Amino acid sequence: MMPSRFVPAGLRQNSACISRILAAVLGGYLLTNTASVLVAFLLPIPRAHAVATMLLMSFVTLSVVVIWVYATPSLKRVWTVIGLGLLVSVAGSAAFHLLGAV
Amino acid sequence: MVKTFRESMGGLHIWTGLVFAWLLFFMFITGTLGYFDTEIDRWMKPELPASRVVSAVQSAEAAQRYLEQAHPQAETWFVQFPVNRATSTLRVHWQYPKNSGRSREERRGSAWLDLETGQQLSSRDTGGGQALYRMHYRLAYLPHTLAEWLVGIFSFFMLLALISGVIIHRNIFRDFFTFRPGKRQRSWLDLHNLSSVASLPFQLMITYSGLLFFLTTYMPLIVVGSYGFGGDKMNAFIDEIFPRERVEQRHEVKPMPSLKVLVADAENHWGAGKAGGLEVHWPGDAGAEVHIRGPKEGVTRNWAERVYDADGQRVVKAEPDRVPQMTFYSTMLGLHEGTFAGPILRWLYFSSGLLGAVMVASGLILWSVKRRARQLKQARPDRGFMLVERLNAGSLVGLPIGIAVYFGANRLLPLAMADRADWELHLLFISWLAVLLFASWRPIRRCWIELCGLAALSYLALPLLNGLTTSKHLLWSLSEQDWAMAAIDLTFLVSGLLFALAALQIRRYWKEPAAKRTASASPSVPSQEMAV
Repeated sequence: MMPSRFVPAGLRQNSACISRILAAVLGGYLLTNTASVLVAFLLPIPRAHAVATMLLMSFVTLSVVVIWVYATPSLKRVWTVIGLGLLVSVAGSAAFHLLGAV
Repeated sequence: MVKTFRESMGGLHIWTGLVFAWLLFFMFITGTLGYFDTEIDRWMKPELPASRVVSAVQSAEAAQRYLEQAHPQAETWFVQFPVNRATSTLRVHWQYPKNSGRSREERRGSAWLDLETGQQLSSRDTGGGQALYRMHYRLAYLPHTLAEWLVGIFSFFMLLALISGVIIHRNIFRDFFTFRPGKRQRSWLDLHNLSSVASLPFQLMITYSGLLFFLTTYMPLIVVGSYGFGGDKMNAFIDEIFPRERVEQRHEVKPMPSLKVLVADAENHWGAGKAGGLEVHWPGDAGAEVHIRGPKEGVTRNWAERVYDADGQRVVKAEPDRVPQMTFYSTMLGLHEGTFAGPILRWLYFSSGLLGAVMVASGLILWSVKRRARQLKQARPDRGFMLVERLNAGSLVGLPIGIAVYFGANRLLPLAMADRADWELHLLFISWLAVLLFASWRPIRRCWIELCGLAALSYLALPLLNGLTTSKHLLWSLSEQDWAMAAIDLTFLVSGLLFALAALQIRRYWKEPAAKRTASASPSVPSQEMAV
């Protein structure tokens, strides 16, 4: 619905543009959340402190991810890294939950 | 599409900046006014006596007399002593327990007290500075959660615009010293750079810390991922990072110790004038506890505290374990709110906030100035361009006009009117909307000049209106040394003059030979429009 002139030069192709925005906003948000959970498990400090640290860092993390998405020329690469990142974070956190339960 | 890192950041900067700028402008203006919320409160409640510093001991006595009589069944009393600018009059709050049979709204309340009689002071129904500044994170007419999310999304894009803006700067240091007035587009770019770079540390701090206020709303999955789903899991996390003791009620009536004596004791320890307020848990119960707040610890929101029990004996409590992350959190929130700031630092906060608004405004104007020449060559300018140009005029000047109307409504609405405070705000938005409509059909050049002229008139009229409708006019407040009242009136005058100056400047700009600009006919501006 937005005229294409609003879109910066080089991102004119609409689908590529939407894909990139999705990668940055949705992918970035999910990756930030899941990766933060995993890193909080890995930090060698009490759980509440680790979660608080990752919460305080979360918008810094998200900014870095978004900037990386916009600075990476290949969209395929962007989605691959986000996908892998999500997979590793979720699997890693799940492993910590299971180990904790045993 | 091979682009340099800097070019891709340029795209990101323009995109985030343009889409989110108008609401950010609103947040900057209303938030910045919050640094003088108490002073605005004072202007909007002219019936209250001028603030004066009274001893905490005397305040405690008056507060106890009022609260014991008016709210003996409350769970908690909060008393703020009038010892600094944030609390210029003695103010008490109370809160009833959840099972008290009162509705959520009725459980809390507050009152300003007369120090001599301990009676409640009454003033006109107004939103004051509080309603004005609260809009910068709660917006208006929206459910709280939705507003929190909107503000969060906008703040995050602001953070992105800041970071990408820094990246696209080749010469961030040189830009700081560069301003080339009278060069059209180049001047707007310089102004945009200057206002952003000069206040960059403030902008980064205010945006990042602003995001921290509702952190668990924005990033709940981080807590959920470690603690599991559900409100009780979230509370478990919050209890772990904010270790707090609950004071238990014993259901055994016991007369309160004299708060005056306890405050005197605490001040013997800290020094006279150091107690800032107190909290009483379960007043009139055998389990009561009195917490007296001492000096603030630096920038954070933490206070030193001395605790007394229902017998008035001092209770020595172990210092709670401060979680280092929470000290950081509290410091960031403290920096954002700036309640620790003295007069000079407060003006610095205020001007940094205004620079933020200038940054957003000049960025928006730069966007349209950059495209104007090319757009006007087309038979029909693009709709997107027209929209931005109209919204710029209608918002950048419309909001200040709306705020002037908010202040004016405070003086003009009938005192007995129902929902008077709400109507002050309604009128702010109604007049803003009117300005937007005006900007949507008026020739854009006249529109800018007329709106700036209207804004100038409105602000210049406010001190006059104050003098006509109350006895607290500028000469009175200056001679009585009611500085808050005087400062607000003077700020209105200065704002009015600045808008008048802006109107004159814009008029001069449009009057320059048309050859330098575009082929489009420039309407001549009748001089009576400049009567300001």
